[in-house]
Amino acid sequence: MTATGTPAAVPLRFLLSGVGLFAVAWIVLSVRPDLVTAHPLHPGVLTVVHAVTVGFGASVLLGAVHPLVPVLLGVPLAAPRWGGPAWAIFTAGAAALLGGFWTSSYGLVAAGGSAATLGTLVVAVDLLRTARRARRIPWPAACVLASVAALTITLLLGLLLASARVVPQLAPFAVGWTPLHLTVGLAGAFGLAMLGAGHALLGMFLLAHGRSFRALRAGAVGVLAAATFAASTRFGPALWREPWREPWREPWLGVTSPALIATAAALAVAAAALLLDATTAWKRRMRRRPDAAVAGWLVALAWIPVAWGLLMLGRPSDAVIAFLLGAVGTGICGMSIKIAAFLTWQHRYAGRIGVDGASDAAPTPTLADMMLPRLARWTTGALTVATLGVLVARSGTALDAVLGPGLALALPTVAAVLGATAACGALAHLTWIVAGPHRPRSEGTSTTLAPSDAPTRTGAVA
Amino acid sequence: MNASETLVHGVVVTHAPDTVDPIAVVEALRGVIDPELGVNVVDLGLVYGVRLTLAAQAGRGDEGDPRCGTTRAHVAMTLTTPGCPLHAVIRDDARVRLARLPEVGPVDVELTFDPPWSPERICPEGRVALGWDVPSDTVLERLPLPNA
Repeated sequence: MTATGTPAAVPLRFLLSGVGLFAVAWIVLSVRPDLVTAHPLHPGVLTVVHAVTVGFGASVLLGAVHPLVPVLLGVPLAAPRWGGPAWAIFTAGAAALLGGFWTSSYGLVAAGGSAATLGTLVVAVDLLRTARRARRIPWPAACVLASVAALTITLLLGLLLASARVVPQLAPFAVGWTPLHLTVGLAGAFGLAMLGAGHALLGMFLLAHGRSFRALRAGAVGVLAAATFAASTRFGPALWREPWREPWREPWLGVTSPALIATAAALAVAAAALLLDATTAWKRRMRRRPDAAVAGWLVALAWIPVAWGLLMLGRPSDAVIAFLLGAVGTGICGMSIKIAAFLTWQHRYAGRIGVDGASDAAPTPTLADMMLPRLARWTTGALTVATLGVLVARSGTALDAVLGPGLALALPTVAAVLGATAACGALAHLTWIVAGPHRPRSEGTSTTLAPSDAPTRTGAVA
Repeated sequence: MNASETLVHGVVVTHAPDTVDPIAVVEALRGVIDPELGVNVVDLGLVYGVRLTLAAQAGRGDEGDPRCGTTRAHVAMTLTTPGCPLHAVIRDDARVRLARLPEVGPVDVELTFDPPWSPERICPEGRVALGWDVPSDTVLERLPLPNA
């Protein structure tokens, strides 16, 4: 049990299963490197994409909210015991969903999606009840809560899309929802979570206090506007939704309808706000060198402008890859290491503190002692290079000309194997944090003055 | 009875005569480590003040209490974040470390967020521990020890 009243096992299960499914996604790519360049609607590609989004991103998000939301709201979770069943239902649903995509069995996709949605709803209701107890909801908490709401909407939209493949009568209702499914999922669930959780966690881990919520507000407005514009691609007037026909726009801008251009512009606002908030945290930090896990999060943010640039260059699939594998994958892997260390420390070692003699019998490690910085740095670097490799491998004939056909053919495999190794490394790191023997590496504090040198000043008071 | 104020590592210790050494109290608090940052709470500027009184003065220990005549310690401290989940851990660690000192009896650790902590409270030693070089123009205050 953590100090916020949340059983540590629940978020840790979400983190472990999430990072495990991230490794599965990369392993699938290693076994089937042809998927790197396959059509976005290929069953294998859909499996990999949903392993990263639902299996990994959503799972880690649902795990992280358990300890984070009580801290942000200042109240314990309303129903912490719901977390265990929610994890079981969600994870079983995610596994069925992935199996359904792999086998093109949309009945299984719908069944798995229903279970994943139910698991998410359980967490969402718990968070809603928790939020109602809070005296106020600060912006970081609002962003995190909105991200869970966005995740629920995304899953429901996905469920509608999958159900339409099984029940033909539903097909007319499912037309035109894909842009909203993508936008609410990527920008709403992950973007808002990165905004809110990033603001709070960077503040804590970098000791970057005193930042305003202005960037968060702008980012949230950007995401909301993007979702509205994406929704308007289904409901808006025809002139707004249909692609412009001017041929000069085609090579430069892949998204040619006014609705999608507006969506992209709103996403740019959200991305800029996220980067501005992180940059401000970095400038204001009192901790000079972030540990390797937090550094992984910061490095991953560099993928966000890359993703937006690829979208503007008319490469939406590459933009999704850069965002999912680069920003979400690398960043969440880094931060989940830190969150797991925090939770495990509270679970395993907090009980020793304050018990007379307990620390003397077995020295208590700090969080830094529980993490493997070299492995975290390697994971971040390898995931970055692997994502880059996947993107380069998708550049087609240009790649053949530069690397030669042999190397160009091997690049997807090399990139995928590197990504799989890195994701497995992250999973091993998490497992070591949760179950490994941790030894203090130092005295835990470093001071420049010996006790006898304590600077003192005395004076009498009345 | 007159009380004295002693500034030890940036912590104002208000103490009555015949109470324990203020330096020993602050040094004990320097053993309380923020497990996330790996820096002690004194160097982080989390300790706002310590008040040392005789236990009997504080209205306790005068009715057969074995701690009669010992020092009562009251610590006002804060955390870097109001919702910090480590609040109980840090408070209990401070309490136990002070209670271990000879002649220290009741220990109260009050967590307060008024005023809220700000990074400006980090002392030069804390800044070094967080990876920053102490600015060259920083001069650590070194005044004579109370009984020197």
